[in-house]
Amino acid sequence: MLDEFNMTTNDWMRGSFAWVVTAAVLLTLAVWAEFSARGALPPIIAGMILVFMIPFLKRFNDVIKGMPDADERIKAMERDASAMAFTLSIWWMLALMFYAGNAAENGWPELIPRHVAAAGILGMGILFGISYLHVRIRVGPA
Amino acid sequence: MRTRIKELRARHEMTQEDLAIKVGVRRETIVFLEKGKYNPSLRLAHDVAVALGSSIDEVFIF
Repeated sequence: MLDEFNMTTNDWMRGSFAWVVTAAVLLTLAVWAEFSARGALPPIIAGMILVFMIPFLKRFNDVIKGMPDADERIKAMERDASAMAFTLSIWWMLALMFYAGNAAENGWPELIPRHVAAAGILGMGILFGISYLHVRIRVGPA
Repeated sequence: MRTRIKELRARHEMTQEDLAIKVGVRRETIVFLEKGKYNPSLRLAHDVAVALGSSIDEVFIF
């Protein structure tokens, strides 16, 4: 099987990982939709998750064709995007903490701790996605 | 940086996918290389040149 597609065991493991992540995301979506108080996911979040799944599926198909899951350009882009997202995430968390700490006394809509945590995690995910697209489209890996 | 990858690839009747598989990178990397938007490592530049039957300085023009 491995020889048929000219793939190494490592390629198969990495390609399969994309499917495992995809299955986990779909399962989470189903559970969330089932137990959500609103009965359905907010469409914008569901759309974002589906958009971010596309690269995973594309990678797996490329692995089947005999291309590697990641090469030096991909690794350089991930490195640059991670560095950018890390810096942006620090500012995002600081802004979020400032908002949560000052909302009550300024009359802003208050956030409960669960929402602060969710906004922090979701924000970091979105910032990484934006950073990755920025590196890929505007800057290009070093 | 300019490259002659597209020209040499056509001479060898090779698609971007063929070259990508031959040198062990993804097809998008070949696209970026052809457009001169990615500076490859010395190892990748060597592999591309060998796959195209040329030397590095014939493929990559600085």
